[in-house]
Amino acid sequence: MSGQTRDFAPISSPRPRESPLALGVRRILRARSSRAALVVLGIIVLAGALAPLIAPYDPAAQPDIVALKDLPPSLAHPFGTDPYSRDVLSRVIYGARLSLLIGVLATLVSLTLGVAYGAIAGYAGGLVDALMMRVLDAFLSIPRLLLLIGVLVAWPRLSIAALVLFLGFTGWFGLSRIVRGQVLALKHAEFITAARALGASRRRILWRHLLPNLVSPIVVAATLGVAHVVVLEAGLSYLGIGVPQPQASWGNIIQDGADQVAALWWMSLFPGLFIVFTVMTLNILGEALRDAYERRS
Amino acid sequence: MLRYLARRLGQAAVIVAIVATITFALIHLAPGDPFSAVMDNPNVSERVRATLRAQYGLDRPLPEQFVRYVNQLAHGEMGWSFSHDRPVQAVLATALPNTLLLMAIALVGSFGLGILIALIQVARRGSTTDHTLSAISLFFFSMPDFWLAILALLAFTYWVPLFPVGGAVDPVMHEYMGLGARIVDRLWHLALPALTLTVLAAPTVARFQRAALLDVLPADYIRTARLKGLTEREILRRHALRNALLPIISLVGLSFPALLTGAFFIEKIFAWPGMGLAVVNAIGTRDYPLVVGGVILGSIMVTLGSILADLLYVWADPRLRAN
Amino acid sequence: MAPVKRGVLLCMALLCACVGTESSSGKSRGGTLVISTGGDPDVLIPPLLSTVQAGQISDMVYERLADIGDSLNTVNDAGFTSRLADRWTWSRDSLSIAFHIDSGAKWHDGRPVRSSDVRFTFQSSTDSTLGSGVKALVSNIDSVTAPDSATAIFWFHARTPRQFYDATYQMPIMPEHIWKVIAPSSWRGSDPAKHPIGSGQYRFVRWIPRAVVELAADTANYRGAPKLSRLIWSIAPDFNTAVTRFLSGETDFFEVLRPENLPEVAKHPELRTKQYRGLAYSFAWFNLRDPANHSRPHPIFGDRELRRALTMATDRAKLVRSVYDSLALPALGPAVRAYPTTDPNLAQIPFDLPRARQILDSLGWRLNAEGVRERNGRLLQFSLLAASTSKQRVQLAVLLQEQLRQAGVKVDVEQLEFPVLVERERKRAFDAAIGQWNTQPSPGSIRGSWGTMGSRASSGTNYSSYENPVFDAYVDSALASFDPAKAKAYFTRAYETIIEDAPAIWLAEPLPTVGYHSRLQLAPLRSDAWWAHIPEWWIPPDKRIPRDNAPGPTMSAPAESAGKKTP
Repeated sequence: MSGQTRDFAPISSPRPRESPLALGVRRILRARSSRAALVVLGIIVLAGALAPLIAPYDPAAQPDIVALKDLPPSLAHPFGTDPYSRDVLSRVIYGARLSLLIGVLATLVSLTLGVAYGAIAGYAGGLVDALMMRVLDAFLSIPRLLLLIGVLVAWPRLSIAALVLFLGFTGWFGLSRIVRGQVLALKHAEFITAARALGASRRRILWRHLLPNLVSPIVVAATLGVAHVVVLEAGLSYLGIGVPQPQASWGNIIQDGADQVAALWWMSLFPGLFIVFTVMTLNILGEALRDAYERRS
Repeated sequence: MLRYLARRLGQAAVIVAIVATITFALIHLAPGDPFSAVMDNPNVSERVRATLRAQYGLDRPLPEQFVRYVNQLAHGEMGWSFSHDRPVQAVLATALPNTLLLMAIALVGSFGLGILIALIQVARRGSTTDHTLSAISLFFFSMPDFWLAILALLAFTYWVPLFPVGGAVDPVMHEYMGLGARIVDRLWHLALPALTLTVLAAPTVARFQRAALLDVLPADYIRTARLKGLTEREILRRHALRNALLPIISLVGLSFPALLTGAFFIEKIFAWPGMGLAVVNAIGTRDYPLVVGGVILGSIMVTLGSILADLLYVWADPRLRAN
Repeated sequence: MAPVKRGVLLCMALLCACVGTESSSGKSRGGTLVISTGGDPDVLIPPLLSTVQAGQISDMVYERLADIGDSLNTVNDAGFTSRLADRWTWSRDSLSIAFHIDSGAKWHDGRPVRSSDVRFTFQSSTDSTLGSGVKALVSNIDSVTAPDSATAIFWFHARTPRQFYDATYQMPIMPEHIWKVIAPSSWRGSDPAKHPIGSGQYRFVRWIPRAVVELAADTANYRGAPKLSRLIWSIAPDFNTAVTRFLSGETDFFEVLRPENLPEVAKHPELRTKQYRGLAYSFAWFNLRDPANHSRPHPIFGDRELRRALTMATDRAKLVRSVYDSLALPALGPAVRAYPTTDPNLAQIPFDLPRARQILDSLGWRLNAEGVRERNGRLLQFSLLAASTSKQRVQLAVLLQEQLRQAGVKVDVEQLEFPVLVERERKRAFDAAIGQWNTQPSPGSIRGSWGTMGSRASSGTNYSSYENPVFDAYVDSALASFDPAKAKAYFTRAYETIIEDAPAIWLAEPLPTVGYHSRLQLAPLRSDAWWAHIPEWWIPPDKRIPRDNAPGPTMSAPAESAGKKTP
């Protein structure tokens, strides 16, 4: 049943014949759909990374708040201008930068927390494990958006760094389950007992046996995780508790045009399309990677 | 079966207790006095303030406050919503049925639609139809909830005015309509938000079910059926679907958080008076007790939903039932 | 309208038409007015309300002793029309006015209106435990006595031009028998607050928070029944929805059209617009006190030169044009052009960005590496609050943010719901905020929002804490003079003083534009309250739509019910 997360991942031999990275890349390059996804995502990421170079205008600049506001798409402003006469294309490009950056950083935080929590729970076992899992279940029962709203309403006027942290703090639950499963499975594997009998330290076991097996679920979780955070951040900015003015994020831009959705359709359409394409490509790549790793085992 | 249910409910109680602890921590970790929003508010009467002080022991040490907090929760008290000027549980109790209605319709609709799409895809697997439907599925799957809702609102209330602009009933005329007209009015207002939420949730089901069906198809009993001479369609209907439906039930439990999140945005954009709209409005008014109440209620809903799904799974799978 | 809905309503209308409608004295009674609005009333108690919607509803349900004339004259009693008081007499020395209560005046629960109600209203409005902002406005009234049940005498401290205005305009009369049993500090959440009983031409029917407020015509009213039988406020969750409801025909009236709505309205032949002179002005005011310690001046805004520099750095004319297009003029200061006492050529702080930068430099605020000014380790940074419910105010805030960025000032815009914003302002827990005053007909209302008294009193609305005795003195002199020319001269001096002190950046003076359905026959829109003459609005019977003929609630008086049946 692909698509379901499982607590126990199949145990693999200690030394895979091919590094997960190479395996993943090969799988992606093989299928046409994932090749296309890689290209599109690459373009978006590149656009975001090179934003200061390729954006035609300063995203916060309001050149002429009377004559240049609310303009529909034209040659001078391919994505139109917003009610503050800011160029929407530039804002979308910088939005790519900010939204993707937030996505990646928040996911990094999630990964770290998820791996740490899952590893500790799996390794400790017994009552500690049971308690940690119950706490995890509790967090999993709260929809992520709701949890974020609860946190962000208490801390208004957040900096982007704090936003990243909070996004990260709420996204590690699923991964820690998988990690715990791996750790549990490995704890009792024969080669581990053998290694221990041979005198290998815990840290060495962790490093040489555990982590390589975790790379695959981590990479998949990371790819899909970034997609989740991008959508979540857009939603939070739309609700007004995400990225503050005047910085541009995709959700922000949609929010700016939310009052006149019909009249200023370009402010909802373009950022929305970018979000959709980013998420689509990340999903395609994530699933390709997951197929690659699962098929192998 | 009953023992299983009892065990799950016990686990659920533990989970809710932990969630209560988390929310209590949230309330008190936040900057500023957590209850000041209510206590300093001149719009809140002295009687309410005195009641809160007594109920939550606001001038007592923290551990005692925690005990009182959990005690209040166990009695269904969730504090005072100053933006609504009513107890939080009263606000949520009025709003919850509307959200449940939306989610129920979307649940049934999205699963129906999703399974249908999956069947079509599998029946023509490998063809252009399959690929196109996959792409469309993925497209809608990747859409932010609020974006689709905005587009739907724009398309069907503004460009092509088929539906009313938000709300659950006609604000002016509903009281004066006859019973039949009232039902129609409600359905008319319900249609677009429910449809949007259905479209948002269907792709997950479609993708999942397609994968499940494809997993089942190579199985032995399917090959036997083919050798027996059954048509592809009959095979799908009689054998594959039935076996592939089982994992779908577990998806029901997993889809509650996504449905609830989707409902939040849909309710905001369509002004649907459910729990989501109440919480989203509470953001703007910084009505913290209401937000926290929403968090607890949401978690209870998700937990109960997953228990329900698990029970359904156990009931549906004859292999498990034998145990 | 959706086809099914139309069909159902058509059937209802046919049924009503078959049964027959009421007709009396040519201009028939009946019809429903649905007002599209974007906000909920806060509280329906006249001395406590602060939202426009609450004011509108309150003015329909409650009544004053006398109503101000359309010309908004506030000197003595010229132009005032009788309401609860059918006549009044000035004493010889003009230090008291005796109002005679109309003998037919009744509360909606049937009890007669008495002079004790007037006395009670005055006492409550000035009761500090109630905390009403009205208290500061009626400081000239010493007391109200009720020698008999039909006479209420207002006693004044001094002879001023606004005695009559103070006695009548500020206080819609409330029923003593209902409110005296509740302690003033508990009025807000009380039952009568949710079901107001007044003496006005409309009775309260229901209020579903965030959804609907409905009033029905008081057909047995002593002044006669109003023409429209129902008033409904349809409260939309946001501005966009409110406008869409108006454009789609779900509502009949919209009070604040924005420039971008006008082309849309033009596309609908059955909708009209009307513009009138308003009494509102908006501003970005600074908290002159330190939010952390009210006795100290604000670390940034306590400096007058800095405030002037910030004003100088703002291109206000462009700001106003961007947000309002042609539907507003740049504000002159804390005064509107509709007042006869306002000089339209008041000297302003000019827009001069280079000079502003110079001034900031000279004050010691130097640009750091990130382009933000710094002095002694403190950044020239502050948060600007804006009510999220008003898109225009948010726009003003974001535009201001960018303009001040050019001068090296870092502004963080924080959006809050309006009631939360007011709370923060009341507690002086803010740096700067976008605000708007819908002023009263008397220019004296400036004392509450910019006078020292308004800053000190707990119920005052001078949240900026601007205190200048020179300004106060000019305003008091202006208000005390009976000579219009002298009053204008004093006010000019007062305005010049406050403009120089720059406790706020004066932004816009909107020209209110309303949209209405063409079947409505409007009465003149009064500048301070466009709704004042709603009881005179009517809908010709041949233009009625199905919604007009829907049955009213069962509270109608018997005389009305003959001939109207529920479908």
